[in-house]
Amino acid sequence: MILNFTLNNTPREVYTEQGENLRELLYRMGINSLRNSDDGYAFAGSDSILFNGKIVSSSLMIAAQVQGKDIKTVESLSKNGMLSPVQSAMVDAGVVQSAYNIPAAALILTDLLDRISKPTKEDIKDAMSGVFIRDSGYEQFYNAVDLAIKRKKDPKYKNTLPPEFRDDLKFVGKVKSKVDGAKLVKGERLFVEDRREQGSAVLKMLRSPHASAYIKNIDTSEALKIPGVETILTHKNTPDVWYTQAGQGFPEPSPYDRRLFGEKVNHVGDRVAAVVADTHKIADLALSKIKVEYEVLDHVMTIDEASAPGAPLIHNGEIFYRVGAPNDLEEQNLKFDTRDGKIKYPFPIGGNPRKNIAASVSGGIGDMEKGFAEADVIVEREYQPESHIQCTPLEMHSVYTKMDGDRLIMHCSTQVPFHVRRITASVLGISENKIQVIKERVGGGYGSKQDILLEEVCAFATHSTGRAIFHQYSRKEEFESCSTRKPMKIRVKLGAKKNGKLTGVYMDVKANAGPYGAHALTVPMNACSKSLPLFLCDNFGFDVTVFYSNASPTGAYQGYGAPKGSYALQMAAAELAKKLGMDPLEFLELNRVHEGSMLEILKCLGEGREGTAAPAESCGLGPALEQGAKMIQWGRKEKSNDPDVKIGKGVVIIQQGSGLPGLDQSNAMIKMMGDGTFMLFSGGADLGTGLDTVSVKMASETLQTEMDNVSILSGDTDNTPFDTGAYASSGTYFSGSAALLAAQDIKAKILEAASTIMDEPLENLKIQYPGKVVGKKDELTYTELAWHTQAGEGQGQLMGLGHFTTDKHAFPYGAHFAQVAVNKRTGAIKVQKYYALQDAGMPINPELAQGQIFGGVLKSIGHTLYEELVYDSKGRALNTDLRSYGVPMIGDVPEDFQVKLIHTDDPYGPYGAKSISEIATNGAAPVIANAIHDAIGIWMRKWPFTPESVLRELKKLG
Amino acid sequence: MITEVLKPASLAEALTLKDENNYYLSGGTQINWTPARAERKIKGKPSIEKVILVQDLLPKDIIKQDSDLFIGAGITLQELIDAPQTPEVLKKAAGLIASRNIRNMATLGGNIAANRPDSYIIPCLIALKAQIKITETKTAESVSMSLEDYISPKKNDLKNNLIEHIMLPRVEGVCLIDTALKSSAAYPAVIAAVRVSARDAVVALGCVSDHVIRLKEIEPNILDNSLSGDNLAAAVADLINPQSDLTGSIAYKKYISGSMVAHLVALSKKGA
Repeated sequence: MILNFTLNNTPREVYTEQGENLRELLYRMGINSLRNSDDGYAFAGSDSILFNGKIVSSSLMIAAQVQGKDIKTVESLSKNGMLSPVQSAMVDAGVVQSAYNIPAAALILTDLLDRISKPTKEDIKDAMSGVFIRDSGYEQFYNAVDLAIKRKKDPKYKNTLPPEFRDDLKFVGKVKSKVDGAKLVKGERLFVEDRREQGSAVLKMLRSPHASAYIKNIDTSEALKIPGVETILTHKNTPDVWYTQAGQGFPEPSPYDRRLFGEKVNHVGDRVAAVVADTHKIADLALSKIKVEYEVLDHVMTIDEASAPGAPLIHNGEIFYRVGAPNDLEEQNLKFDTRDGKIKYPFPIGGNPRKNIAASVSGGIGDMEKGFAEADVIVEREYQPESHIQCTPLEMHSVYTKMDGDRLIMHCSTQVPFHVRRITASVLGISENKIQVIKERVGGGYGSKQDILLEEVCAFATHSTGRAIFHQYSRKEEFESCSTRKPMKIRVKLGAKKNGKLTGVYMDVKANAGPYGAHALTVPMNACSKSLPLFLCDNFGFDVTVFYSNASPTGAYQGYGAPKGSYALQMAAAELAKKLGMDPLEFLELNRVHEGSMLEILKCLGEGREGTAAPAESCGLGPALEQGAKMIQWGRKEKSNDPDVKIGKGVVIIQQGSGLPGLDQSNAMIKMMGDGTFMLFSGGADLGTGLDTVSVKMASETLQTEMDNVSILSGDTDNTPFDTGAYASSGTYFSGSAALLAAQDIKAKILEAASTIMDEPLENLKIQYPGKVVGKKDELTYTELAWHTQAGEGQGQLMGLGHFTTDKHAFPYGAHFAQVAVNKRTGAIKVQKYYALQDAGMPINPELAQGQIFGGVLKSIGHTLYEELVYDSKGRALNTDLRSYGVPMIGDVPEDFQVKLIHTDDPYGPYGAKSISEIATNGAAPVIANAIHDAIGIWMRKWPFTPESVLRELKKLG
Repeated sequence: MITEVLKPASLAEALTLKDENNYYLSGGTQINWTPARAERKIKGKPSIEKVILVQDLLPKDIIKQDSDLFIGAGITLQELIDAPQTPEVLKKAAGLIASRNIRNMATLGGNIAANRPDSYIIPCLIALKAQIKITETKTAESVSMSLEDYISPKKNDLKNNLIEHIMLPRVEGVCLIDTALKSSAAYPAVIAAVRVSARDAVVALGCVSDHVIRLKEIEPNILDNSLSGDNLAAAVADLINPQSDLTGSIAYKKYISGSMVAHLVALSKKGA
């Protein structure tokens, strides 16, 4: 049919099928901003449009509904490429992070301000009620609206709400527009899906309906006959190469226990076959024609089931070790089933697949027995953060692969472009110089894009067929076949003297790896390594055991293992304080780490290698606790007007790391352009967190030139130097430091070149804003310098290199306070106040730092109170959509939600900076649990804390 | 996938186009919504391929006639919230649909016709004693009936007809609605609407059966105060037969239904 309607103020005529989905039609018409985040559930709001002046979800509409109507999208907001007041306010308020559906939010807030000139907080909540934001939480949207109102009157109005740091610096620590903010908020073509070219094919996966089964037979012959089917991949025609999907530094502390397609499927949603076809429709038809005969096996889903004697084995293939094979390897390999394939350990990590153990480790310092013998009071408790939670990035996992001659080009939404290249090369059996990985803008990763979940399949398909291929997960696949934090059961034993001083601390962590062992050792170990060093004690001990199961795959999630370890240890500390009759805050103050404390426990907490004791060089816990206590009026008992509602308060302390000293590496390069501006090349992978902005600030501050004079290219394996990637809170500390070193390197070269040109000794010269070298006699602008150095007789283009490795730690710390209201009649929990006070050293991007903390806290509030993937008895996940899974929306934000940045100056971080993002996820579960106890006297030792679970603890459900 | 769209010029024409194989489409929040499509598949119903577009044909006005309020079935739930004539409790019910995007699309008539057990609107309208005016497809005649009758499984023959108006009579007493949610945008575990006056009491519950139910058995006891507080909660729990699902267990749904009803009744009697 011919359809006529007005699109962004222009009459349009388009040929379409009447029933075509409207979002798809508009995207086809060049409206880039409309995204699919939920496959027609209309929950995430990424598909929002203005339909005759009303905000609606375009994925719920068909083309015929817009005949004669007026449609507006975010593309209507920016005139001549300039941002509207709402858009610029959003960038400067810090809400534009990964930004997959930020254009939709911009349209919604524009509509709000058109309807209501001075909206209340409730009006803003109502407007944003149909938008799911995972990265920055929602709190800064209130600031964005306020700023937009002011900018409507004065376009240059500056955002004064976020704090700024260090008056002696121009860019670092200051509120500056995120370098990619404008293009993200405008909805430009920046994501993997936007790289698709005409004629490219699609890849779709046939996934296992069984939690555990052998593929007895697979027949693709009928499917291959369908016109438009390019190829079908199965275990019969793909390489017998075993690898780990974990995007970790090589050699990985993870077993190589999967291949592209196995003869055995290990979870519902495991790969069975992949169809490459011209269209989705053809691919779907082909999938329906593949005949698979399964031999269904018993399955295990939980830690208890997997660890039970005689439990079905997930991996019963032959076991290999690259180095350090255990003495009983021969015994372990006495019986194996070739259909299970292989398991290869790069080095020993305590695995025993014959007991479903993927990895294990034990350690400690001092004498645990003595420690507990000396204790006057002991608590021993088991905590069960055992629910399956998911990362839920708005942009579902995507990859686009194509050939350029004999080179494979991969457009990826990844946190680890260089690991993608290495693992893909290994799987395909080609060298790394034949692969280019380009990290596009990433619409949310949160750890799930640290692993190589689909890239290598698409790469193999392209490499073997020559076809350009696009592959994107469905939302269901995001839940069933993704990567996330491991469910855990943690037993904690604490001993203390009557005065509250700890004498012994022990953690026994059991984790559920799911079917494959990505991050098997390190995530559960991190539950110890990022929680135990918060306390000072002579006797620490821990045991970590990680079990395979047939539940959904696991890997990394923002915070790694720390949120679960922190939940268990901080809650146990509160329980111990209660038993001691001590105020929990007093207990924390008595036992906590201080600046300069030597952390002996780190000796036994290396990430797959030997650790070393290290000092806490900077620690802002003191001021964080002091300020937080004042803010929440610690010690004052609050009373509700509703007799059913009781109010309580909680406090916890948290920490994380800044990258992996001794394991991570970052590199950067900067070159001066012909006019004295700069191009910075960073291997770092900006996930929307603002890492590119950090890197540019490093260069601008060092070189005293405007940020607009420094452009950045990052995360491109051909064009930027190596970086281990964006994980383990490494961005600012590692990639930022590499950028700083590169800037310092070119600064030295600038001064040297200027010395020759200006004929002044080096010691007389200094760099001065704006972009010039000043001597005693004269000055030389960067523009003039570029002309000289790049002229026919010049010394050559000035370039700087930065290479950063370190063995020094920079621990970020924080204190979180919460006030909750619990309804004893309904079990409902309301987080009334949440104060996150965090020491990130020197916050390089204050507004983005705050946004990351808001986002991290809200994610973990979701994990604590609402989110859980639920399985049926056959191992099938029942709630594979965002709504029934339970992600938090703006209506779930604490009534009073504040973030305070505690400024410390770390001696090793760039400009004193430490990491910011992951640590924020460590506080919510224990602080809410402790506040609930303060309110109604129950300890919530199992996630999630639903109204039903509260009522059960209160013995109200019989 | 929808392959055919019929576009009548009038409601009368829309009625003539209706048959067993096509469906009225107004907002799209039911017809095009993935979960609704999946439910059809699970129930063995054919996928919707043919629709009759009525988005611009249905009345959207709110008219007061004598003491009755007539609401056009085509009004969106957000328009219902924004209209000054709408009773506060109905505004609250519509507002329980967390997403403004959806409220801007979903129509009152569509919400009723979908007859979902987790409708916030239907329990509220039952408590308000709503009548609906439908036009019969075969005869093109207008018929009025109680909403309670319309949603009854016994009246499946009505489902092909087109809802035109919803009539709210003047009722006494305070009508209240509440729901039990894990999070602000979650699927509800239970929805309860209650109205108590000196002459009558109405209790309607959503999510505890395959359609919204009214608890007529206990309404007289509420009226004569023979059931209240914990006794009323226990009586409600005994009366219902909810299923365990992702929103909660049977025990939880029974408990929270009873607790909510008892609480709302107490508030309604206080004139909250």
